[in-house]
Amino acid sequence: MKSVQPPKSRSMRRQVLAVLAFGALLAALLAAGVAYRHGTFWNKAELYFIADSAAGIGTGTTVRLSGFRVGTVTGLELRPDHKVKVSLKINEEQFGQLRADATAVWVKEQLQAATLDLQPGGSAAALSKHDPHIGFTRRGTLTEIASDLRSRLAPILDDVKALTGTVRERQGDIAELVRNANAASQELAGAVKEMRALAAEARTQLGAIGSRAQATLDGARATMAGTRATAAQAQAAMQRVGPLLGQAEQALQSLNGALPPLLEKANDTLAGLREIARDGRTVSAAAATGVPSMLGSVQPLLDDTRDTLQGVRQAWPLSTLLPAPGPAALPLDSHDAMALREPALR
Amino acid sequence: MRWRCASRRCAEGVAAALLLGALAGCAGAPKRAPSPAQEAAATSSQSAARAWRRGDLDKALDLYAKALAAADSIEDFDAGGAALLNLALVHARRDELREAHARIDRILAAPERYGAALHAQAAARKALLYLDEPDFDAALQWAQAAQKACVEPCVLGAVLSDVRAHVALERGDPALAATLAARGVEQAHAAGQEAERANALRLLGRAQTRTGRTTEAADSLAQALAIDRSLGLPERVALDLVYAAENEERRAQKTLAKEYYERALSVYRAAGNRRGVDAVRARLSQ
Repeated sequence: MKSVQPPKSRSMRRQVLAVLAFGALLAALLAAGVAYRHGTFWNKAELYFIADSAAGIGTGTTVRLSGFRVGTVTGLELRPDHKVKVSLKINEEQFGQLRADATAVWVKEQLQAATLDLQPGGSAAALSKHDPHIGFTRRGTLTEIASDLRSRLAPILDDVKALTGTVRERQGDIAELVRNANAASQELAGAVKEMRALAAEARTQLGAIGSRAQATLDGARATMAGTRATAAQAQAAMQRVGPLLGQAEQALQSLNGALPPLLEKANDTLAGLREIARDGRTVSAAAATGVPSMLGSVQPLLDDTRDTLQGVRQAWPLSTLLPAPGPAALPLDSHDAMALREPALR
Repeated sequence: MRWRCASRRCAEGVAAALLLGALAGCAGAPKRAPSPAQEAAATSSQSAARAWRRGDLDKALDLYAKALAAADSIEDFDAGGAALLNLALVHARRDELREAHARIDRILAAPERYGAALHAQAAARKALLYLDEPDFDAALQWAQAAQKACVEPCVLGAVLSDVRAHVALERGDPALAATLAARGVEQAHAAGQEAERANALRLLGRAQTRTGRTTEAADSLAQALAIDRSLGLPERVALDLVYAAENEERRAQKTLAKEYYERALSVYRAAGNRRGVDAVRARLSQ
C-alpha cells in the first residue's frame, strides 16, 4: 500500500529547507565579509623590526597606518642576542608608502589593546623589499609618563618647599635687603647726577684748556709774523742804504771834478751819508741778532704748547677736574748763589 | 645681622653693588672752579717755572711778574710771596742783585701778610744774595734771621748751614767750614734734600782739602758727584769734578787732577757753560 503525505507537511519541509539555505548563505557572506575585513583576500607584504623585548606584542597584534588597520603581527622570534625579531604582514598597497627610515611605534592606551603604529618616514629611498627592516620605538604609557613627571616634579617641589622655608626664616633679612636696595638705588641716582655734573665740568675745563692751547699757538704765529716783518724791515733798510751810497759816490765825483769850492760841503754830505750807512749797518746788525733770537723764542712757545697738551694728555680725566695747583716758590738751594755756583778763584 | 651669599648670582649682585659704590665714591662732589685771576696766577706761575727750567730767564721773569700781578689783584699773599721769591731768584741769576733785593724786601717789610714761612724763605734768599755781593756779615745776619723765623720742622737748616760754611771757608777757617758743612750734610739728609746734601758734601770736601784731609775730601766729593750725577745736574757735576781735581793737586796727583779737569771741561762744554769752560781751561794752563 503507498503512503501519501499530506500537502501541508510538504510545504513546511520546503519552507524549512529554504530558511536553512538562506541561513547558510548568510553565514557564508558573513564569513567572507569577516575574512575580507581581516585582509584574507589582500595581497600581503612582509616586513620586520628588532625589539629589545616582546612585551606587549603578540601574534595578531594590529598594525595601523594613519589610524587604519593595514596588517598584523605574524611572528615573534627570539634571537641569539636576546632581542626579538617581530614579523609583520601588511597590505602590499600600503607597503609602497613606507620609506627606508620607516618605524613601528608600539602604542598602548589605557584599557585598549596594544597596537603598532607605522610611521612611513621621510627618506627619499623606499623601503627595500629584499630586506624590509624598519625601526621600532615604544611610546610611554600613561603610567610611565606619570612616573616620569613625578620624578621630575618631586625635586622641584622639594626645592620650592626649602625655598619657602628659607624665605619664612629670613623674612627680616629680605626686608633689610629690600631697604638696602632702595637706599642703593637712591644713592645710584645721586651718583648719576654727580657724574653728570662732573662730566659737564670736565667739558668746561677741557674747553678752557683747548682755548689756552689755541691762544699759545696764536702767540707763536704772531711771533713768527713779527719775525717776518722785522726781516722785511731790515731788507728794506738795506735797499734804502744801497742807492744812497750810490748817490753819495756820484755826488763826490761831481764835487771833486767840477766844484772844488764846495769840497767842504761835500765832505759834510759824505759824513752825513756815512752816518746813514752806519745806521743802516746797525739796523741790519740788529736784525741779524734779533731774527735768530725771535726764531729762538718760537721754540719755547711751542714747548709751552707741547707741555700743555702733554699735561692734558697725561692728567685727563682726573687731574683736569681738580683746580690748578697754586703758584709755588722754587726750592731754596745754596747753589743759587753765584759764589757757590762757579769754581772758586784760587 | 648676618646673611650669607652662596649662589653665583648673589655674588655677582654684591660685586655690582661694590662697583657702583666705588664709582659713586670716585665721583665725589665737583670742585669749585678757580676764578680767572686765580687761574691766571697759577698758569702764569707754571709757565714761568717751565721757562726757568728751560733756562729762559727773560720769559720766566715776564711770567712770574704776571703771576705776581694776578696774585696781587686778589690779595693772595701766599701766591704773591711765592712769585716774589721766584722773581728774586730770576733777578739774581741775571746778576740783577738790586732788583732781587727789592723783591725780597717786599716780603720782609710785611711779615704779618706773608706769614712766617715765606718770611724765613725771604731771609734765607737775602743771605744767599749777600753771598754774591759779597757781604759776608750781612749774609750771616740774614741767615740768623732766617733761622729764627723758620717754622719747625725747619726745612732751611741745611741751606743756612751751607751759607755759614761757605762764609767760614771764604774767611779762611776751613775747620769751622768743615764742621758746618758736615752739619749741613746731616740736616739735608734728614730733610730728604738730596741736591742740598750734595752741596754740603761739596763744601765739606773743599774744607777737608784745605785742612789737608785729602782722603776724606776725595770721599766726600765722590759722594757729591754720585748724587749730582743721579739727579742729572751738569753744572754741579762739573763743580764736583773741579774740586776733586783740586784735591788731587793737593795730593800731588797731577795726572789724576788733569783727568778730573778734563772731565769737568767736557761736562761744561757739553752743557754749553762758557764761563765754566774758561775757568777750567785757565786751571789746566797753570
